Amino acid sequence: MATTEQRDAIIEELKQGVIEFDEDQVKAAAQRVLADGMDAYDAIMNGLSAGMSRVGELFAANEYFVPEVLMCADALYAGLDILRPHVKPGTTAGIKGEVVIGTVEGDIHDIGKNLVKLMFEIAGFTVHDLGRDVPLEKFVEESIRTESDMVCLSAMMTTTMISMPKIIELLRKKNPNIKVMVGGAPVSDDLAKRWGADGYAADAANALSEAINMIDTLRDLKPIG
Amino acid sequence: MVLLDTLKGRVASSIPVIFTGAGLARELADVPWEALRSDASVLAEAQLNFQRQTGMDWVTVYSDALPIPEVLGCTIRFSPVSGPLIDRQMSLQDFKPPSEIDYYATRSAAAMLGAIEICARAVRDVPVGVLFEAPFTTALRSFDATAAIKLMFKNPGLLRSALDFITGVLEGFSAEAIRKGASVVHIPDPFSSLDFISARHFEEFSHPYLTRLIGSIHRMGGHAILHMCGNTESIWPKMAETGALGLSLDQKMVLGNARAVLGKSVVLVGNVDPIHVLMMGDATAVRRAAVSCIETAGPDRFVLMPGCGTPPGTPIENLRAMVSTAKEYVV
Ligand code: B12
Repeated sequence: MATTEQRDAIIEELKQGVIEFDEDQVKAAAQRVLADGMDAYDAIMNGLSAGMSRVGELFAANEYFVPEVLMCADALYAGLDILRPHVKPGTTAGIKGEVVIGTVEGDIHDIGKNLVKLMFEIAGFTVHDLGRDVPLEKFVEESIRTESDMVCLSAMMTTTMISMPKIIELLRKKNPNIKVMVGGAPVSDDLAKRWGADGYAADAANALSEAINMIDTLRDLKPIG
Repeated sequence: MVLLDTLKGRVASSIPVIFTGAGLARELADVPWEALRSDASVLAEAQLNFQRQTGMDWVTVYSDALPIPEVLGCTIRFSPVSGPLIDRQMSLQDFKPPSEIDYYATRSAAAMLGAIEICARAVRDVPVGVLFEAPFTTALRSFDATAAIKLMFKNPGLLRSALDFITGVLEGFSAEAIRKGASVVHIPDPFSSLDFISARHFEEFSHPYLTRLIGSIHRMGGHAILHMCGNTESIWPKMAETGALGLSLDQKMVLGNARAVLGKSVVLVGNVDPIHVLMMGDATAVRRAAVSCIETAGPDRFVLMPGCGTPPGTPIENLRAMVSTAKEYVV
């Protein structure tokens, strides 16, 4: 078993590895988590995820830009791949929900959508990613097939975002209880309301907190910490 | 030729107004995408019609941003929602640059060059412009963008050699376009925006190639306008250093600030909001926005333009209102 200092040092390495997008450091630290018998969930939340929160702050402060964030995301995924299989069932005392996500038809921008997906994944959601240029009906089919709690729609163009109200209408017809969240640069809170979406967020971090609130109301599950 | 006069630093008889918008030109001409990007006469007629209907100060020849990626080897498909799309981006690691570039072997590029020739013969009072994207944006469009931007960290040498090659392809295309009668080259570079990459990466991976391309264009007798989307504030001086005669800024930017930073050394181009004002507003809102741009950045050394492309669905009366505001503006 690792001592508290050893644990803290490894957690810090995971965190810094994500912030400095050092994939090798993250992988090595993740292996040590397993070798030292540390709690994988603790390492994900307080190491990897804490690192990614800092990355979000650096992005908001214009110190990091999209390429840096994508590099950090790669480092984070490298750690998640190693740690996630070792998370003990039951220790994930947090929200868990199922989400369908995709970029709407005609639109191939998926960088923003992938960042939203990443935030959901580290928070313990199961994410069904339909990818990009997704036909309207596919969102409905997938949400029914997976019995998901929520559908997230992303669009980066004024020409493609207009299919969002159509998708929302289709989803509501099949499942009146499904929560729908929309986002992407041209989308706004106003538009989201006008289209009858349950939620909107301007960035990935807010997307997560918004989702937690929405699924809370749906399932009455308690968010982490 | 008020546009050329202004770009050359001469006093023009009125403030020039220009629009870009192939989707809108296509809509006004009511032709299918496939025809617009493969048939020189269809493309020429659509863009000439766009000029005639608005009275703007140039004819811009382009169907979309993808002919150059196609010349590089990308394939295209059509989305019923958003038009032409790159079917699959190439992998930069596996890319073998073609040993010889024949612009006429790619239908969409050949259509553009043919359309330039038709337009140059058809118009006398306005110059013919051509539009293609900057080296950095072309690279990210042609190669898997998510993988390619990571190369800035992982393998900068590989990215640089691709940028070098692409710059050469764009120089060659500019030469053909100018030979066929284009005198203005409009170069959008949406990926160099500070909304996407840092100023440091702009300086390293975009600026040198833009400078080289724009230098060649000017040596060949063309006039370059550089357009960047989103936030560009801290790189304005670097944008001016590329040698572009006109700097076209997004509606997010305050033209008066750009003027304060850059002085009269450069022609400012912009920046009426294409969505909230041109597409969704009325003629009064358009006039008000146009006058505000003219007064903060002009009236001299200034070209009135939307902050970005004019989307399909924009009412033509709004575009006419923008043109007449500039024409009637008394200096
Ligand atoms: C990268 C990029 C591309 C890449 C995309 C690569 C990829 N795999 O995603 C490629 C090369 C493929 C591309 C292609 C095109 N693009 Co492009 N592209 C961009 C660019 C430079 C950056 C977009 C981006 O990734 N931003 C970074 C991410 C992190 O931000 P984001 O997407 O906004 O996401 C955040 C939030 O919006 C939010 N969010 C996103 N989704 C969701 C979903 C939910 C549910 C929630 C809650 C939140 C949320 O959270 C995210 C993270 O914080 C922008 C211009 C710019 N400077 O912004 C143009 C831009 C979006 N593209 C544009 C255009 C026009 C095109 C093309 C049509 C051009 C052409 N003719 O070829 C093509 C075709 C696209 C198509 N049909 O889909 C225009 C759109 C104009 C408009 N408003 O309609 C832009 C604005 C540039 C411009 N002005 O010309 N492009």
